[in-house]
Amino acid sequence: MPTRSKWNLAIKIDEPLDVYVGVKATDSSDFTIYNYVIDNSNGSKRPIYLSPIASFPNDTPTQSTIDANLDSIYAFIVSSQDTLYLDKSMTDLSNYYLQPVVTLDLGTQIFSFITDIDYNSFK
Amino acid sequence: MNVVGISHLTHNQVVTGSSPAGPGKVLISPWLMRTSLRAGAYLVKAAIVLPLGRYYCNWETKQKFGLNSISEVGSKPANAFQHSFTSFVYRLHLGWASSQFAMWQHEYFGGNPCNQRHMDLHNNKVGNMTRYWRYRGSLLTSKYFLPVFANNAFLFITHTTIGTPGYTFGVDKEFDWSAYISTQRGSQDCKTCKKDRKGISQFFIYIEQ
Repeated sequence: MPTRSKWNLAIKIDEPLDVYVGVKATDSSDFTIYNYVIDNSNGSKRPIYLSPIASFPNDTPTQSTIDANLDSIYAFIVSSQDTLYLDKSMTDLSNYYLQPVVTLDLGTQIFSFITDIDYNSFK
Repeated sequence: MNVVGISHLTHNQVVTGSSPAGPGKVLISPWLMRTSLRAGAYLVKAAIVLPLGRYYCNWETKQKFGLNSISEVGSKPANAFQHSFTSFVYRLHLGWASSQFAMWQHEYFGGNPCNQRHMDLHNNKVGNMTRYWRYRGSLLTSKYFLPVFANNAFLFITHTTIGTPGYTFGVDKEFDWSAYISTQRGSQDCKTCKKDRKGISQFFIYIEQ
């Protein structure tokens, strides 16, 4: 039986890429930068945000949850001479899909949202 | 001089069976006899050690981490203690292969998501392989003095360094593995967790504070 819930956002990179992701939470004064170097086409997932606190069970995040926790997210790759930015809003929950929800041993439900990324996602 | 014929030795029946031990009997070598007895004794020992060891390790986990129930360990360092100490006790009394198999099958058939499964598999190996001798300590200590080993394991898991956050020998994978929640064995999530944990064999893993 679930006792609480947590949620997270992640990207799924479908081909070899060197991706930079910047995440600014509402309670943070600066961006946190992640650099993910993917060398395969297996659909590697990488985290970009994890909810800092747990909430009550079955609390599925909505767009207002994202807005309350995140100021902005950007992603880019460096391609030969250009910097290409991700061509979709990463703070828009409609750009993500929800993985099957699991409940851990201690009763924590995990809501994990994924967005797929490949080279063509960057403009 | 009395001559005893074969018919006297076989209760007046002439042996005609193909087995040299007589009809209905099997002649086995001393080596096979010894191996069979040892295997039987080992199975009896395993039948005692596996449930008792598990019970004792759960009890130690509750005592050392102040838990009311063993289900409260979650994915915290207490869980790392429970898994690594149990696999240590199994190796101590049953050998490495049995320890590894007993702990592995629990995860294989458990249905946990990949991040939980590989955290547990990793922590099992910490206890029965990479940190076994740290838990074991002096060889002069009898292998039945389990509280001594529990204390060694507890000191290892809870060791902290002043000025450094987190546990000295622990790696927090809560963020890194947050999206790897597939429950399918052999999935990309599991492969990624497996590859990731290979580089931190000397440390235990936890994914909840």
